[in-house]
Amino acid sequence: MGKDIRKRKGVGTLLDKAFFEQIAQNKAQTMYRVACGLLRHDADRQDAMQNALLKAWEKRHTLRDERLFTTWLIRILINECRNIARAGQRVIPMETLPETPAPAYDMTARDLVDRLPEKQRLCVILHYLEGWPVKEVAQALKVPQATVRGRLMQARKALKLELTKEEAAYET
Amino acid sequence: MKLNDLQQAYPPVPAALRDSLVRTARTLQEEKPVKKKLSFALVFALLVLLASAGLALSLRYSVEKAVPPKFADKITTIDETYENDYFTMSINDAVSDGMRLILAMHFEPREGAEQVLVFPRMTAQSGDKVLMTDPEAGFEYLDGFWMPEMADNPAGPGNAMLDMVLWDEDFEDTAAIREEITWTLTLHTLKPNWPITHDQYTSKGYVDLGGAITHDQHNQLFADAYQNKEILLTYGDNTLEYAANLPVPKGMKEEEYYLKRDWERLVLSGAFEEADRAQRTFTTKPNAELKQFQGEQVVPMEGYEVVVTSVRAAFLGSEYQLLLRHTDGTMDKDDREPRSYFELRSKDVILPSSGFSFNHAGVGLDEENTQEMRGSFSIADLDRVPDKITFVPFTLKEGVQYHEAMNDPGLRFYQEEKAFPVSLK
Repeated sequence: MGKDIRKRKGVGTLLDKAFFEQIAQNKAQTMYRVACGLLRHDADRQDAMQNALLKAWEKRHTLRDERLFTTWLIRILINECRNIARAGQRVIPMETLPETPAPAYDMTARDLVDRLPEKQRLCVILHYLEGWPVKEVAQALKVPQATVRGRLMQARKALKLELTKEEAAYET
Repeated sequence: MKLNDLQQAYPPVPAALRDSLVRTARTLQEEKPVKKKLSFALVFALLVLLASAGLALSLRYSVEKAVPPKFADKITTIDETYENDYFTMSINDAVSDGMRLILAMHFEPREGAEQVLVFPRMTAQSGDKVLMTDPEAGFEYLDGFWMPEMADNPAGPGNAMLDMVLWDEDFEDTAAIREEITWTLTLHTLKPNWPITHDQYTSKGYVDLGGAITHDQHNQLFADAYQNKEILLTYGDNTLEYAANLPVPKGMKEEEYYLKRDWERLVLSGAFEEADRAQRTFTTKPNAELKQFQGEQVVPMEGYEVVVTSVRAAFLGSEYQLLLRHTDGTMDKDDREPRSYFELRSKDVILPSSGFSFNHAGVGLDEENTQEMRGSFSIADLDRVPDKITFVPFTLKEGVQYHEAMNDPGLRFYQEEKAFPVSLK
C-alpha cells in the first residue's frame, strides 16, 4: 500500500510545527508557482499560500501518510486559489505585502503558459517546472494520470503553436 | 520553446513572500497534549487484559487517533468482515461528522493465496439523496494496493484508512445530512494474468531518470511492457503509470475509454482479470453532530452591520462566513482591514481559530459596501457540538498586525457589549 520513500515513526510525529516551518521554507517556491498559475496578484497569492498552510495545519491529523504531504498541500492550495479567484479576495493585513521589483524573466514564455487553459497550466507548472511525476500531479489535481498526460500533450502542442504564431507575428 | 525557456518563465518566490509564509508557520498553535498517568499496577493489569483479549484485538486499527478525545463516543464500530479466496477484510470502525467520513480497515492475505490487486471504491447516500464524495486522504488506497502488500505500509501491515469528504453542495440540504448516511465500499479484486516487473527509474519513490533516458523514452517502457505482455509497476507497487499508458482497445472511442476507471482499463487490457467483486454497506449515525446556522441574521453595529451567512459546527472541523456591510459609507474600495475581528465562544469557552480570510468584493456581493470574512474554528474543547456560538467583536490597537495581536491580548480591544449569539440547529 505504501510507497517506501521515507519511514515515519508514528502517526502525527513528523507533522509538527518544525515540519511546517521547514515546509514553508522549502515548498514556498512550488506553492508560489502554482499560485502564480492561478492568481494574478502577489497579494492574493500570499493569501492563498498562507490559507493553505493554515488549513493543512488544521487538518494535519487527517493525513495518514506524511509522504503524501506535499501533494496534499498543493491540492489545498489549488482550492484556496480558486476560492480567492471566485470571490475576488484580498489579503488580510497580516504582513506587509512584498514590494519586489518585477524580475527580468522570460515574460514571453510566461505569457504563453498563462494563456493555456487552467487545467493544462497546472499540469505544466507541476510537471515541467516543479518536476513532479505525472502520478503526483494526478493526485494533486484529483484526475487520472491519463488525463494529466493528455493535458500535458495538449499543452505541449499549444505552447509550440503559440510560439510559432509569435514568431510569425514578429517576422511580419 | 525549450524546456529551459519554460523553467525560466516563472520567477522565484519573492523573499518577502517566503518569509511571510515562514512567519505564518511560526504562529501555528500546537494543541495541548493529553497527559495520561498510568501506575505500574495499572499498566500490568492492562497488559494482562490485552493478552487475554487476544493480540488481534489489541492491535485493532481504529479511527480514534483522528478524533478529538471528547468526541470518541461518536466513533461507530462496524466490524463488518468479508473474505474471498485471496484475503480477509474487516471494516473496523468509522466516524462521520456530516461533512467527512474517516474509515479504518484491515486486510489480511490468505496463506498461500496468489497476490492480487485490490481497488476499493466508496459511495455515499443519505435517504434518497446520492452524496458526492471526494477522497481527501488515503487516495493511495483508492489507486489500488496489492494483497499481500508489496511495499512497506507506514500504517502497519494490512492497515488502511480513508478520509472521504462530502462536496459542499450537499450541505445545502441539511435535512438529508441529518439522516443516516449509508456508505458502500466496493472492492474490485484483480488477478494478474501477466508477469510483474518493476520500473527501476521510480524505485527511489520519485522519477529519477538520471539523464539516461528522456521522459518520452520512460513512457515507452510501459508501452513496451504491454506489448511484451508484462505488467510494469512504478514506485515499487503502483499500476497507475502502467494503466495510463495502455492503448485504447479496438472498437472503443477514446472519450469512452478515458472515462473508465483504472481497474477497468487494466482488465480491458488483458493484463488483469477481475477475480472477485464485493460490496459492504454500513451506516454512520444521523448527524445531530453537524449543526448549522440557518436563514440570515443581521446584527447592526456602529457604522456597519454584520450579516451571518453561514456557520457550521462539527467535531472534525467547523467554519463560519460573515458579511460586513458598511452603512456609513466610509468603506474604501481597497480597504483591506475588516471593521472588526471576531472571537468565537461557546458559553465561557473560547473556540480556537486556526485562521481566517477576508474579501471585499466577492461574487454576488455589493462591491461598494460589503466585505466578506470566512474562518475556521475548533470545538475540540467542548463536550458536544454547541447549539449556540457567540461572536465577540474586537479591534486592534492602531498599527498592530493581526498575528501580533493574537500573541498579545493587550493589543486587542473587545466590544463585549456588541457580542451577538448565533443559533445552530
